[in-house]
Amino acid sequence: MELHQIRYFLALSKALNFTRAAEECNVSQPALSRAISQLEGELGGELFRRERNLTHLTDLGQAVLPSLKSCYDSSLGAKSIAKEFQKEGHSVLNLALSRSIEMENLSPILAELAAAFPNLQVKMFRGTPPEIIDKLRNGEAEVAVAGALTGDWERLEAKKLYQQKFGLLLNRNHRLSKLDGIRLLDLIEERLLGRPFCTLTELLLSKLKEVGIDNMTKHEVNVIDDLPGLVQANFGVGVWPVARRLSGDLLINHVNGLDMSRWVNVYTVFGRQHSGAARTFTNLLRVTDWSMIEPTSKPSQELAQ
Amino acid sequence: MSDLSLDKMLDICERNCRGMDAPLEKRLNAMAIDIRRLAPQFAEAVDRIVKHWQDFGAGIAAPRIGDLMPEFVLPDQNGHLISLSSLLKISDVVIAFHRGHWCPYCVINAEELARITPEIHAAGGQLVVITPEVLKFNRKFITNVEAPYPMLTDLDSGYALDLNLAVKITDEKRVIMEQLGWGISDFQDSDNWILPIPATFVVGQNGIIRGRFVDPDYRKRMAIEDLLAALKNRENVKSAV
Repeated sequence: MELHQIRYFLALSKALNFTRAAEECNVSQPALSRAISQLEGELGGELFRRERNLTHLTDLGQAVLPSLKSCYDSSLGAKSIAKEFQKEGHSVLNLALSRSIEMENLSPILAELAAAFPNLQVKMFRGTPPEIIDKLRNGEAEVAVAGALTGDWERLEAKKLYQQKFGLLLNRNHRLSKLDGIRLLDLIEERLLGRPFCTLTELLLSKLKEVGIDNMTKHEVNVIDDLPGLVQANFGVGVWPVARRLSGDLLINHVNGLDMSRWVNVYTVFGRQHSGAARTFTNLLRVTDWSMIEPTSKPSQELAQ
Repeated sequence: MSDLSLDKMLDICERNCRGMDAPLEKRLNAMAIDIRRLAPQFAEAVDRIVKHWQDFGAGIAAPRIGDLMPEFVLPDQNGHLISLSSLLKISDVVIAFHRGHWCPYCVINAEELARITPEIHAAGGQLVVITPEVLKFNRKFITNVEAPYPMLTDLDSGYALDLNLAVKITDEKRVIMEQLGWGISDFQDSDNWILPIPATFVVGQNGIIRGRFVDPDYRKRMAIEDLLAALKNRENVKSAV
């Protein structure tokens, strides 16, 4: 496949009109038609059904569109990165993160980015999923790293990064800390410390409901780092990412038969122009071997030192 | 051997070919012959797709000798960004595109490149390999062939497309590849099913290409003697520009 063929294909898939697509691409219509035919030959079938006034993508055209678009975007990205790399120009990265994302997972990548773009200015925001979607929507954030951003905005583009595992954070002298895994029924008398919008807290509560526990006391703690202090004081048990550093007399235990994990994704907005820095950041997140950083599975009792 | 699955048989072939005391071309050829013997249908599918790519001139529009090699900025196996211009400040650069750690021809080729890396250095050059695969699999590739050179990730084959080197895998080939455990979606963090044509370029410190090998028949790679000759042949280039 040749770069210009893909460019013409993408223009035609939008314009659905050979004359207009050719104008947009600044080529003659025969040149555009020829390039499309060549691409069709290589891909083994017609990409467009040519009808007067009703040119449209064939099934094959529809099928290859996302991958050709992705490859083409990556090519544009490669060029913009090459242009901005180690240049004097000012580059900005506005980043939105959900609250439980470990900064230590991102900091090596940010350091690499700062070396690549000497005048990089990073603006970081942490918030709830609705706040993050808002920031992406109004352009205040270019990239987001978060768990599932639910919502009906179809322009969100997600790429999976790593699985974040959660457990229950307990005081070491807590009766549940001695168990090899906690049964749901063990939690009947406990106070749960959850965070707003935390899907794992919600998952746990719904599972508790299934076994008849529906009146458990639930406290809402907005800032994740407030949990350890509260757990330490035996105020309750907290929902906690197992890879997160702990201090004090705390440990993490798992709930038997309950997979408390979620995917962390990188989000961008489909169709937006991205700066070289933002593209580089997204690319570095995607190529990283997260199994080296985020443990995929943990023993039942992970003792904090 | 017949009761072994195809992927196991290919593993055995790959090991045999890697162990052969013969030039690269012979070893690649031996691999192709082994595959044809063990899995004639698979070999025929490969023949068809390669012929198809050749018929449609895949790779023809890739940069040529005398052209300026486009700049790249790509992460190496440790996640550090490497640019072509920073490499050229040090010496001439040999750039080899590979399809990935799973491809037996790439393994044979990459291992040979590892073996001759001292010669490349002696000839005043350095080598980088570019694949579309994420760090984990490039590291696996490096360990497998004991590569002393860096492997860079061209995510979503954007740089390869920029060089007109990207090819799309047909559904027919995709099914076979998946059966063999070559689920490149995971390796590439991408569902695009796009691969680079495994090309090799020798780029002078002025950024000009003075050696080039591009063949959509991925069973064929730049001969080592051609690579070293292009690297050593600094005089001709000036006249080509």
